[in-house]
Amino acid sequence: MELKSYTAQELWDWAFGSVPKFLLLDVRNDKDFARSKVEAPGLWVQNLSYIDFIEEEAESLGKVAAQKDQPVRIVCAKDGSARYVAEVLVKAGFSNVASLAGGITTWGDLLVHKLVHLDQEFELYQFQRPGKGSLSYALVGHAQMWVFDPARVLEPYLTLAKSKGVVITNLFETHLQADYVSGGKALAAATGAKLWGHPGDFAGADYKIGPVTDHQNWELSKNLAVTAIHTPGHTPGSTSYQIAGTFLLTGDALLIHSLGRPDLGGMWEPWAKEEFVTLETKIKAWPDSQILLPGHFSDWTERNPQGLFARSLGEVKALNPEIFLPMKEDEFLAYIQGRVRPQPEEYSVIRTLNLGQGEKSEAELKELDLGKNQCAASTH
Amino acid sequence: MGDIKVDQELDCRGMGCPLPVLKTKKAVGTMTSGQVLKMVCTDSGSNKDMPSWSDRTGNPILKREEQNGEFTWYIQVK
Repeated sequence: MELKSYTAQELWDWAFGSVPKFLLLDVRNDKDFARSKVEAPGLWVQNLSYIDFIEEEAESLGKVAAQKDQPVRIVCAKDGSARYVAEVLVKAGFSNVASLAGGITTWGDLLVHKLVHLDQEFELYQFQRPGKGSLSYALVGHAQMWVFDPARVLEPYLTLAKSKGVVITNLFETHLQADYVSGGKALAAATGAKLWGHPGDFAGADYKIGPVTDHQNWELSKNLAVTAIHTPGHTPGSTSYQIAGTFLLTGDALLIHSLGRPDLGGMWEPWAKEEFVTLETKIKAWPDSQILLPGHFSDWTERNPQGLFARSLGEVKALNPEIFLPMKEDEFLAYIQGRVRPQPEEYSVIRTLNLGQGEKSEAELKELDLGKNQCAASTH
Repeated sequence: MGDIKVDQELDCRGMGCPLPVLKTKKAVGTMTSGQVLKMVCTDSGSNKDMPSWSDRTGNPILKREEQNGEFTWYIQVK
């Protein structure tokens, strides 16, 4: 009999839809599972390695958490082991089994876009990357599209531009990303768009990137501008982009929960001191009515009822009293120091790649680009 | 450590997961305690899965080599 397969997009639709309960059975080894497991609110996940099925088939079948009439969706690194386990389950009498075509990296690379704002001047979209917890944005208007923090997989941006009949002309980096491979350089090459980033992060880049200065303006029309606000701390070049005087694309300068950790560069104290100045002199001055659109999320609970990672500054202040209450520098440094922790070893490789240095095959990039971000100042 | 005496060889080049582990298990099943299996594969997933299989089954990996995209594993039967 033919085995059924499913796609990452279908997994998203099921995970966020109102379909009957299914078990997501991840048959990779426990280390890979820990590094890059599928997360979604209420998702029923079990890790049972295919090696266990090879070694102890009957015992492993007994451990499967689902009943034989419940749907089981299997995932592995590529597809082979998932198909192997799917066959074992089907032979044992499970009636509704399918394996993820292309494996976990297809989930890792999935981008789903949602409309944030629509008026006569512009549309603003949020691209959510569930496997990474990263967010990128597209501003569409006046026959153009501007992309902020593009991910490595370019098709979703190109497809949106095509469907809107617009041309991608400007690309903005909020900062040098450590947790994912940026698509900035490749999207600039594919479209001819101009790429922008702050020299504090990108001065050493081996490709052409326009130097962003604090307060710099880009006008999409006479009524619509993007303004750069230099918000260093998470990285020296971290820059927030304010759209239409209302939407704040902060990268990791401010997140819905917490702010970007300043220890990824290996010198947490000087960067944390910069972050404190940014927080006190810039972020705390932002009006409550501004809308935060961050560069990452840590948890699905950060979504608003519309399914967007977007919150008013007033809400963000209420969610983060430990950051927004009056604080002295030494208190902030102690707060950060308590959150300094090791970073994934691949982050230094990704930073180097994002400066245009080093080469990796597409398969290596997919593997490197897997796993949820660890960019927030937090204790875990 | 001198050259390892190999008792049986297994060629898994070009094969994807789960075949290298599956065929290793079958080969080891035909061998006796203390013998050494040399398995060659090209699946980079083996770098995590072979150690995981070795831990799971208790058959130690004596040596691993990597050359030109080929991974060679020397496994002793427990």
